[in-house]
Amino acid sequence: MKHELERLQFVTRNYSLLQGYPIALVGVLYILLGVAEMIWKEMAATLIRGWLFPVILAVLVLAILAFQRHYVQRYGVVKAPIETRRSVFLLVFFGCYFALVVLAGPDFKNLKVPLDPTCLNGGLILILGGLLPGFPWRHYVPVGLVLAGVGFLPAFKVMAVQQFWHGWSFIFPGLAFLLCGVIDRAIFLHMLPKPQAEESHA
Amino acid sequence: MPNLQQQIDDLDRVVHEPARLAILTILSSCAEADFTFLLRVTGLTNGNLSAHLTKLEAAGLISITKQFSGKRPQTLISLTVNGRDQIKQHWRRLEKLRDTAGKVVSSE
Repeated sequence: MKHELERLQFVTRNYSLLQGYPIALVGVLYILLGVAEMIWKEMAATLIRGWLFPVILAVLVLAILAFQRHYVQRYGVVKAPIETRRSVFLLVFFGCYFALVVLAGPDFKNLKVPLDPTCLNGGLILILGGLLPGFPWRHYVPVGLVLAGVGFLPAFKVMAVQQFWHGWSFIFPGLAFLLCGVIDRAIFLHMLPKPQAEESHA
Repeated sequence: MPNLQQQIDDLDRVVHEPARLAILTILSSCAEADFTFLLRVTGLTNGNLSAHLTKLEAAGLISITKQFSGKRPQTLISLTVNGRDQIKQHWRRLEKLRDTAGKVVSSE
């Protein structure tokens, strides 16, 4: 009984955080940018700077609105969940993140090892997000660690830094973000009970 | 010996019924939630949920607001001040009851 009530509280407090689609859509955006880079190479950069990026962003915003609508219609609305010092923890998160970025220097050059900064950056964001107290994102930590590890592959001579420039520096973080969003949604769906059948009075 | 039966009798039946306790617990975790959310999260049927909400409203524990969100009707449910107090008190009573039951079991 207590476990069941804790489940209800968890879903209610974390309803918006477990919807997963914002981070999943950012993941899709990164994957698309990576694929564009792989296919068009230098041309991708021109396209991204030109008309492609605003179009992708517009599609992203439309997709976010569509997902929002889907959640409201299918799962309902929760207003102002009771949050326990979450904004304080978010400030700590941004503080830690900026401290790390400042210490590591632009593109983590102060670390003085060959690495991919985009993957490492994405990994750090996921790790810090997963460690935030009061947030339901613990699964971000292992995904973030793997992504940060991928960023260090050039240091171990598994992949050259130049290989990341051909789209992989977008695709790896994109896959990680997408995976986090999918796990968020899986947790949310797992937490919902099966609906009872409507009683028949016939 | 603590009076276990007395404590069980003191539990508020309106609050203690499992489906209603679930609804009140959900509402105690947020400012308000709509009917669809309660339906999905509790797994109750439309009819069951409506009946429980009516009982809770009649007891003055929740307030129900009907409005339109765009063209869609929306039923928003929130705990009243009394409802928030009642659910807190109920949890305290349950904790106390658990302690008493533990003492009874260990003394036997």
